[in-house]
Amino acid sequence: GCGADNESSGDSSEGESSEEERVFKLGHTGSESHVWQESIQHFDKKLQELSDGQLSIEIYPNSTLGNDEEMLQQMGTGSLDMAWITLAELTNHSSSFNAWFMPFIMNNMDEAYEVSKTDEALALFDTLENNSIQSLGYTYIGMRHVLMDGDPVSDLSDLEGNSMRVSPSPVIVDFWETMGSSPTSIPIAELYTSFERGVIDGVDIDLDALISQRLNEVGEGLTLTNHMTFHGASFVSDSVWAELSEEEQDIIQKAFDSAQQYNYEKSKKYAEDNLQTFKEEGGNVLEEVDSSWREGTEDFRQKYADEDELIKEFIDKSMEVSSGDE
Amino acid sequence: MTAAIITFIFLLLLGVPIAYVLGIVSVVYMIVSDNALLLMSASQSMFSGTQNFGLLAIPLFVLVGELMNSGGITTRLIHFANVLLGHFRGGLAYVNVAANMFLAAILGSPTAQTAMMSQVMVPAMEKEGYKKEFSAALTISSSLLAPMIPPSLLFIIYGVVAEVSIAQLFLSGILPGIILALGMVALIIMISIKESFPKTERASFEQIYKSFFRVFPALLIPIVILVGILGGIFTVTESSAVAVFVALVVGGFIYRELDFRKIPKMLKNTAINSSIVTFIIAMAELFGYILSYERIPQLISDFFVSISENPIVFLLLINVLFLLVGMVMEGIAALVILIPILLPVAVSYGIDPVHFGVIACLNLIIGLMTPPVGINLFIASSIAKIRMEDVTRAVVPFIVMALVVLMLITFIPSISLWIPETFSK
Amino acid sequence: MGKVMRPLEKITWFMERLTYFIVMISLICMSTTLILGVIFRYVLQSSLVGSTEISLFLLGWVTFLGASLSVKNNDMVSVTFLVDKLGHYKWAAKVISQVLVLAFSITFVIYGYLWIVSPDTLNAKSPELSMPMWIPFIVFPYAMFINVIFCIDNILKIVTNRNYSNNSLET
Ligand code: NA
Ligand code: NA
Repeated sequence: GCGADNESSGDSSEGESSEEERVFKLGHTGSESHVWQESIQHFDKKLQELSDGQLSIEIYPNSTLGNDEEMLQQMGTGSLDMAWITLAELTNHSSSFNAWFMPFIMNNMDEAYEVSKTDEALALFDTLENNSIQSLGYTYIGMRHVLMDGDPVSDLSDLEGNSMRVSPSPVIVDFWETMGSSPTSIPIAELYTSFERGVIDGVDIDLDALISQRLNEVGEGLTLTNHMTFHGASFVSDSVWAELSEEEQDIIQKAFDSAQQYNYEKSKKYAEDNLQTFKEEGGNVLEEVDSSWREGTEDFRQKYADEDELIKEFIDKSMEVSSGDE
Repeated sequence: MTAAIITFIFLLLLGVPIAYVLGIVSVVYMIVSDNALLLMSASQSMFSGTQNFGLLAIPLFVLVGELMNSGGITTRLIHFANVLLGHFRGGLAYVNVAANMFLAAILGSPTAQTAMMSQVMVPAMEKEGYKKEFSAALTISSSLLAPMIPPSLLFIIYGVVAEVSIAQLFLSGILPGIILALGMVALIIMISIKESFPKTERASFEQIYKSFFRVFPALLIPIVILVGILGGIFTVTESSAVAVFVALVVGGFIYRELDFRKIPKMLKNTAINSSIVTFIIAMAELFGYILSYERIPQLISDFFVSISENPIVFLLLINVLFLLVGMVMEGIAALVILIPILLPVAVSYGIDPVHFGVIACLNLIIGLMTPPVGINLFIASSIAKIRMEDVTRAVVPFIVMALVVLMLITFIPSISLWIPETFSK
Repeated sequence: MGKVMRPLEKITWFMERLTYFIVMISLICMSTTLILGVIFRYVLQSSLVGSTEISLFLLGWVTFLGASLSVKNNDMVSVTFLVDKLGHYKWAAKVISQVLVLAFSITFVIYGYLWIVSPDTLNAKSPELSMPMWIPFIVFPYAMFINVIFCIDNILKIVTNRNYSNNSLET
């Protein structure tokens, strides 16, 4: 990348040899109890094992080195070594990542994991050529569901006329508008009180955020729609990557692959735990939605597929994966 | 790091604007520590520092203050309060506390409240013969009620970071907030004995009635805000924009005192007065980034945690730590960095997370009025046009009072926990 | 000195007026956008996409432009008790202080520009409106640039007036 050229002499340790210990600074926006934190700790552990302690990771959670936008910028210039970034941020840089926000193309986490390994999913990373970053693969948070202040929604038409809090991403907003609801982008810090006082009627959310934001105190009806996935991706700064030997790059990739699997397994377990918590505290759960939800959103997916060949291929692939499982 | 600290103190004493002290020290650190690459992303950091929805309330409430002053709203409010409380010695000082308490039930941000009240109360008190420094100091410390009386942005952030019930946190702040207000009253009584505060003749019933009739349209502002927020019409931050609108209507069309030709001038004042604060926050983002990059908060907390195993000693140390951090860091940033590290330790000492939240939040809002980096000091001194040193000196008794309340809250957990435990399921 | 001062004064005057104008418009738009957001959601039962984003971007504009105006008017908060004791040499401390702000501003005219033209920024779009991110960001190098002009103007004024008054800038 272009950020790498001017400052290759920045780290004096690099030129000497691979005998030197190398500590990578890795940032993410999750909290210290977020599944990403644990998964990155696993990444670090594997990395140390595979490199005999030569390579390791220093984790900066809680956006301490900045938000996703800032961290991408820092990796581009080479001042941050690694980061786990949410896909919502990546759609601001390449609209092809909208592929991951197509509704009802995956039914559960196992399918999401399978899709994340496919060529069609990995091809999306090639569209980030301007960002001077090297991708290691996808990371995972959870499936998205619908939480309402009253009864859980059971039919696609129930979404109509409701004020929904959604992540401020054009594709997500577009989806909710197409469904006839009015999406609003209340900031996370004001989400709880806004939901409690009825500024919004419902939220589009994953189970981790639902419990950690304490939304179970204000929202009673949960529908496990599994309508979208909530993914991120792991990156290394191009200039850092270029300084590493092929062997080291290989070790990092292997350690990440292990962390990725760990990440999915843990997320799956936490989703079950969080659902249990929600039920125990008196929440009302509608366990699944019927096939009319997938059929009713066909036009929406088609619109995006028509615009971008990569999205079309991604949708086809993940439909293939999910129908294969049934 | 030593070089950075020396540069910091040197620039501060040289009279370099504090925002630039934070910025320049960060840049010097980046260059000296061989991290010049960080300069490439520094611009992004500073811009992102301003991209916080809660901060929007700052310029908007400064503008509300401008509109209230020019539209004859402030004079009517002060007049009404004076008719009610003016015959006590130091009446307007009590009005300041009472008004802040009322605002605290509407706003969750002490900085926004300081901005508004410095605009409104300090000139009014000065006109009545109070010392400007005392008036500013009282305004700053009364604004501490904002996050203690619900709603509170600080408690929401703590609840989210610590994964503690926000509803419980809101309830837990009420009693400490009331005690803080009582402490303020006690302090005013003590000071008013020493210095002879002004008082006026007791008002007749007819005067009270007339004054109330005149002030009623002005009371629409808090009423609209309260109904709007509680009724789920808008969020706390949006309420600041609605307040601008209501103040414009009341001053311009009901009282007809607002001169619309003066609006450009008011907007100008608003931009300058509020940017002084938000620009410091932008620079503090860069400075905080350096601290995080060097893991300074973690080093400090590791050190404190290693000292003792006694919960009482731990809580005392935590108070010292928070106060030190609060001196140099912005509260929300400090909360986000320190709570995830310290809360698990606190829980292992057997301390209730809700109680811990009240302690942490009170500490960090005290930090808003402690030098060298005290955002509320900056706001009050720039809006009320007083030298930082003079406000700082005047605010010392209030800091001492707040520390006494902090000690009470630290060592008597039931002050925080009684209401939430009584009212929750 | 006069030859430098006249055109510089004119540029300063023009930049100050222009900045005031942008800041006023920004504040009006900020309040209006937020209120419209409420009206759309509550009254019209739909959503004004981008109202949060626009108001936040405008906050960035007000912050950096307002801060530049404070540099112009010497309105920034600083600790002055030591400087006040310098008596006749107070102007020297003021010049050093202005030079430091000038150096900071020059640094970020350069790095701010590099940030805006980096492919990272040029290709990024805002999340709600898909607006190119350089539009909200451009205010940063612009504000740093007018800081440079204001600082030079301030320094020349302090140096020129040093023998007459120590408080030339406050008046
Ligand atoms: Na409050
Ligand atoms: Na402080």
